[in-house]
Amino acid sequence: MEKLDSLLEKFYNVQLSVPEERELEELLSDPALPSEYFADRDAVLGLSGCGSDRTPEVPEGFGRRLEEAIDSASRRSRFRLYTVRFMAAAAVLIAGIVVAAVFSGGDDARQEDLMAEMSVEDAREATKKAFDMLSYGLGKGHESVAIAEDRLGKAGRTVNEMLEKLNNNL
Amino acid sequence: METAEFKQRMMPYAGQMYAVAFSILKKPSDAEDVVQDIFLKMWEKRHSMDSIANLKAYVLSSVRNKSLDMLAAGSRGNEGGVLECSDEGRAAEQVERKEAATRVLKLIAAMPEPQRTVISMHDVEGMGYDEISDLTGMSEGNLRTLLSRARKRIRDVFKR
Repeated sequence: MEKLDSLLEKFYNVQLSVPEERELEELLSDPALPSEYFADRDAVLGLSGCGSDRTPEVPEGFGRRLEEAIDSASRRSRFRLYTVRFMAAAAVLIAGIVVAAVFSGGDDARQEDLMAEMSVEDAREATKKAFDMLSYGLGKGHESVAIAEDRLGKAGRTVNEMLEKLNNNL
Repeated sequence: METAEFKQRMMPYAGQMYAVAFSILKKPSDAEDVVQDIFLKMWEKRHSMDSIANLKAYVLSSVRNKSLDMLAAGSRGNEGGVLECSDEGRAAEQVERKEAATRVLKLIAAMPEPQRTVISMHDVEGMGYDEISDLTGMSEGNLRTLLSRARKRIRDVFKR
């Protein structure tokens, strides 16, 4: 039993050589094995049994069935993609038709009436007013940016002065 | 990714994936189902496959985990399979070993990671330390420690 104990210790410490593994399995397979070793027997032989099918024969047609499964999945993917694209295109088309129907017709007639009443001078005046408003807005925007820059500069100068004072005190 | 490219990348691993699944499940139909399932999952993820650093390790790990989970859930038992024997004595011994193997596999399936992966790769699938180290990134010393703990854990359960 000393030999068995020694081999078991090596087994659990993952130190067995291949010949020692076989020797251990033989000792544990002995019908006269004392019952105190039954747990070790089940563990060792169980693990050995797990490894008995390491190089199984691949079933016939295995590769073909796998490829067929992939082909089938590929067809399903393409069908889904085409369906989604078709629905998106249909939605865009319908939306375009609805927008065209809602926002066309009466407005064109009104715009034509307005344009007929306006003289060339009035049109020139209206355009000049539109550009003046645009430049006013842009100028206001630029002014706001300039004010913000000025205030940021002042804040930065204040922070620098405080840091200098702290450095001098230290 | 086109179908042809996907097949070119995945089919070389099919045999080893089957071997891993079969070593755990012991039934050809179950093993084939697992491999096909993983293949289809990879197909759904085909556009992000390039981001997987080690594809072989990834798919083998997926097969291993799926097989062990199936075993743990007991969805299909290991009662099947052909028992070949030359005489009654050997038949009885083989039955006992098969039953012990079934119990051990279920214990392995219930183990925490990374013990589960290491003992499965070494004792069930028969991989060497170098290969396991390449696939997991763990050192041989670390692998031996984990394997030792896993084997002792199995013995302790049998002792109860």
